[in-house]
Amino acid sequence: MLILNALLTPNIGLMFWTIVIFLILLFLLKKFAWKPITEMLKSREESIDEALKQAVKAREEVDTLMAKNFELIAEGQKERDTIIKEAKERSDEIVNQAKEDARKEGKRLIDDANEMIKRERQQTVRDIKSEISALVIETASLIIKKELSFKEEHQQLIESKIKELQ
Amino acid sequence: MYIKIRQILIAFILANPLLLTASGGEKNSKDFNLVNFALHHIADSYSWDFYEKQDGSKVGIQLPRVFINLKEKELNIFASTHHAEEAGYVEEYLYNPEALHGKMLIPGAEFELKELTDNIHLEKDSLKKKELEVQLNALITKSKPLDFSITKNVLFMVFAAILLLWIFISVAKKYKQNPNSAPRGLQSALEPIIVFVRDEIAKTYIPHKYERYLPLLLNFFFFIWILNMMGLIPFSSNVTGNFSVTASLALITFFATNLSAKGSYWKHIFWFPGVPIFVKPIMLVVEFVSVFTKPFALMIRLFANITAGHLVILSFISLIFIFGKMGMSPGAGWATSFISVIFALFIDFIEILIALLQAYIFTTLSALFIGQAVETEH
Repeated sequence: MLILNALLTPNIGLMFWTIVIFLILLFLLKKFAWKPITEMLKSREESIDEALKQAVKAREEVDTLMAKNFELIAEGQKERDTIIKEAKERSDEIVNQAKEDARKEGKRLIDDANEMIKRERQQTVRDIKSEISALVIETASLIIKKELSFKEEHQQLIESKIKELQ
Repeated sequence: MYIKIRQILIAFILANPLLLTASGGEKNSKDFNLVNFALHHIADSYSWDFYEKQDGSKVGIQLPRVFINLKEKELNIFASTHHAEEAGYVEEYLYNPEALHGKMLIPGAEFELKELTDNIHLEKDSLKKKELEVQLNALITKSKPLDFSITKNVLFMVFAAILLLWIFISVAKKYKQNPNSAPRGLQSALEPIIVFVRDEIAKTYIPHKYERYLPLLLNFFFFIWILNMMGLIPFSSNVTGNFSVTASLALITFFATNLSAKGSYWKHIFWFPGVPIFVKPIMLVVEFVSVFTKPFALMIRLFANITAGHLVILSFISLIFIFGKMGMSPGAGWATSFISVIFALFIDFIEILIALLQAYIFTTLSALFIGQAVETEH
């Protein structure tokens, strides 16, 4: 028990060295270990937080982009449908128009042709008529001249002229 | 790294009882005194001894002695106790059987002391003898130098400090080399502990100013832990089981608490709010005493826990020699050794847990005390 008494007596030298060693260790470790380590831990935690936040944000962005994409696609499809429909309508219209035009043009051509034919025929008839009348006059004049000379010859001439006409 | 540490620890645990057995064996020839054997083992020492020869001389490293001679007002530094003796310093235990070996008295005191002790021996009258003994004690107290010797405990604290510096500076370097990346190696073993001290101890008890006190708390935790672990290693020193060491650490908490205390802390001590006026003086006494009991409890808790563990292990080892002696045959000793070693091993495992636990408790309570002083809101 004598030694126990000695064990419980504070030793000034040991206390001095304990405090000195502890404080030097605290100073050195604080400067070279605790400060850098805790700062690095903090910065790492912050960077992880930041990365997580950004991931969430990126995800949200992707979601909105996707939604927008779908919207765009749907819109595009709609537009395409309307364009196709319109084009079809247009083409139908054009075709119909063309058909109509062609029909009209054809009709007009035919009409024109008919008109011309008609006119030509009238002209021809007129020409023939005038020719015939000229011939008739000529023949009549000839006949009148011949009658004075040869009755028979006169007859023959008329007949030949008629043949000519036929 | 983990496996390496574990292997080393296991090796130490296995070796511990056996080595203690070896160092206890020397006492076999003499009367085996369990108390002296155990207390010597946990006491500080002025040399780092490895074993004791048959003739009682010890083999080890002598540690330097540093004295401040108050009488001559000079600083004396010696390479060893032996050198101090050559320079005239005298062993105290020659005149005071209570003194530990290595405690020295200043040169020039021995003549007076010798005379007094001789007189005590010659004196027959018990009253006069008592008077002379009182005189002797006064003379011894007067002849004591201030002893700043590098003891075994100081040496091991320096070892611990170097080890901590080496470990944590290399870890800090790793943090700088790969910033913002996952920890690896030793870094990943220590990081959870650092984060634990920060989140569970510092942030919990000092929520607003934890960053200022975190280095101190980390230092407490790892310094005490490594010293506790080193104390379990055979041939090393039982540093945290030393009264003066734990007192110094508690003193640091005491100053950290009271020097940074805010007004509300002092108000709670001197003029406790929210109680009737006649209770306030009573609270003043209670609170004022608590300023000192808090660090006192810290000191006792760490010292007692570590010392108790060491004493239990030493007791199990000593059982071998007590039984060997009682049966007057080595057979009983051998039989006991089997059980003792198993029990000592079991306690050693518990001690590893306690080494961590006490470091945690000391740090937590320090944080709690500092938090009470620094945090203003209640």
